[in-house]
Parts: sequence; structure tokens; C-alpha cells
Amino acid sequence: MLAFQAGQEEAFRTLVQRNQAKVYGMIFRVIGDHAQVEDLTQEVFLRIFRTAGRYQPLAKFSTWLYRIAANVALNAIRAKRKIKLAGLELPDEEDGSSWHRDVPDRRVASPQTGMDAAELRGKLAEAIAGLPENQRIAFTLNQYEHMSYQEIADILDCSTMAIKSLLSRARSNLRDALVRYLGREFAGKMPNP
Amino acid sequence: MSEHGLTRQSDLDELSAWLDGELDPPSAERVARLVCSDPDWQATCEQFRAVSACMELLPPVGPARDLTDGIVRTARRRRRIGRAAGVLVPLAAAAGLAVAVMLAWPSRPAGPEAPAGVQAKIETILEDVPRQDRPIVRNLSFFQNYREVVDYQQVRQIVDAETVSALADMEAEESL
Repeated sequence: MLAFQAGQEEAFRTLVQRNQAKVYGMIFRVIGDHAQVEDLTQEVFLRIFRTAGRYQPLAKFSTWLYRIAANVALNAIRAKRKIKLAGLELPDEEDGSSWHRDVPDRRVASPQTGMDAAELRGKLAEAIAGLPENQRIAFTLNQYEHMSYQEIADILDCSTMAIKSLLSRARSNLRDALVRYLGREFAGKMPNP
Repeated sequence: MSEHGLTRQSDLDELSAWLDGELDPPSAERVARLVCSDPDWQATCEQFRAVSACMELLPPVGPARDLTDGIVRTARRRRRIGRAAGVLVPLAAAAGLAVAVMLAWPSRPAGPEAPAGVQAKIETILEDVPRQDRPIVRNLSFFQNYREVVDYQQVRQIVDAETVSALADMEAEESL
């Protein structure tokens, strides 16, 4: 990043090559639509290209990168919500989101649930998609990017106490969703409501 | 089926943070003891662990193709457009302002077509007028009624090149 800031344009190419997968992965877990995620991933790096002059190495580059990615993802969610409220959204596909359809089948079926892997992945993805946006982002960064509370707080520009609460609520919500979707398979570990 | 489980948000927050290794040592020790000894803490701990285990079943996700070339190309193109806009936008703004002023000019009735005699006079004048000034003569109705033809030189003195260009653009659009 510093090399790019100093005018070495090839450094930008390297920066994109090294980071596109993690940015894509993070945004996909939050948004869930491959076509849109590709555009949003591009938008993240275009913003970096445009605002490189403002970057200050006061924190890890990944914090800045994920902050831009989180903002881009949040803006996309809110824009989609406005379209939905305006009644302009197209009807959902019958088989729901593209989450599980486009994900390669690399896992065997869970021996605990007995349902096939694709169906289970679909339910898990639905559960994440059902979280409020800030919980979704915080959970994604914690669960899949293995970030600390402080790192997530820096990205979302809030306190670690707020992150603590976001994550605990996300876990509770996911637990409740999984009980609804998976029923007895998951309820074996659940208390009665 | 167990009826145990935490209900207080503060307890849920503490347990969740303990599972993430984010508690200070004294708090971590306290929660660890509770998880071992209290059925509510135990049950919720198992639930939260099960949530994480389930979520790990989602495979890693990445782009289907390398996006680098497209991103670099788009970034450079937008920078070129941005630089060009830095020059063109002020020019376009000036032309737009000139057109707006002319449209707001107290309108004279364009009315019926100019009387044949006057029209003929305009066409004669046009033959002698430099090409770049012809839009002024053709649009003298902005400045003057058709009933008399004003010496366009007087108008030329107060109308700058951008306005003439804007007039020509308007004519071009109208002819489409």
C-alpha cells in the first residue's frame, strides 16, 4: 500500500491480487449474491485506488481494507432495502438465494443431521442472512476472518463492548434460527423455549 | 429435554466473549467455573459451540475468476475520465450557464414566421457573415424581434464564443 501511495502503480495490482479473495469472501458472506459480490469487490479496490492519498499507516492495512469492504457491503444492503420498500424488487427465486447453489460441494453430509450437505449449507446461509446487518458483519469477521474484538471494533468504528454484545446476540439469533430450520437435530442441545 | 439456558443478556455476552478468548483472566476464570458447575451456563455454552461448529460447515468462498485485470483497468479508466472531467466540466458549466441566461432572456414573441422580406434580408446577411457568427444572426430573435434586423456586429460584441457555440449546439439538436 505504501509503495502504491508512493506512486508505484504495479503495487496496486499486487495489492488486488493478494487481497481480492478475502474481500470477496467477506462480502459474499454478508451479501450472498455472487454477481453482486463481484461488483462490490471491485468497488472496494476502486475506492482504495481513489483514496490512496488519504491512507495513513496508523493501523494495519487489513483494518482499512475491511472497513471499506464493510461500508461497501452495508451500503449495498441498505440500497437493496430501499428498493424493496419501494416495491421495485424482483420476486425471489423459488429456490431462494444463490448461496448454497453456487458453493462447491466440498463437504460431506453432516452425520448429525442426516440432511444432504447442500440443504444444510442453504439453511446455515439463510440463518446468517437473517441476522441484522451489523451482527452479520461482526459475526463474519469473527467466525471466518478470525478477527479479535478490537480489530472488529476498529473496522466498524465502535467499542469492543458493542462488538461483544453484537456477537453474543448474533450467536443467540443463529441458535434460534438453527432450531427452527433443523428442528430436532439441533434441539438435542437446546433448552425448551 | 433440558430446560436450562442463560437468559440474561450480560451473561450471554460474557459467555460469548469467553468462547472467543476475549475476557480478562479473572473474568475468564469465573466463567470457566460457571460453565463447569452451572447447568444453565453449560447448556448455553454447548449451544454456542454448536452454532460455531455448524457455521464452519460453510466452505470458504472466493471469486470464480481473477478480478485483478478488470479492477486495474477500470481504476485507470476512471482516473483518465476524472482528469478529463476536471477540464471539461468547467467549460460545460460555462456553456450551460450561457444557454440558461439566453433562455431566461425576456422572450420576444417568435410569433409567426418572419415576414418574407426580413427573412430574405437575414439570408443575405448570412452570406456575408463569418461562418462562426451565423448562429447569432440565425437566432437574433433571442435579442430582437423579427420585425427588424439588428446589426449582428452589435450583438457579436456582447456575446462570447462559448455562447455562440451553445447556440450552434442548440441548432444542431433541434435539427435532429
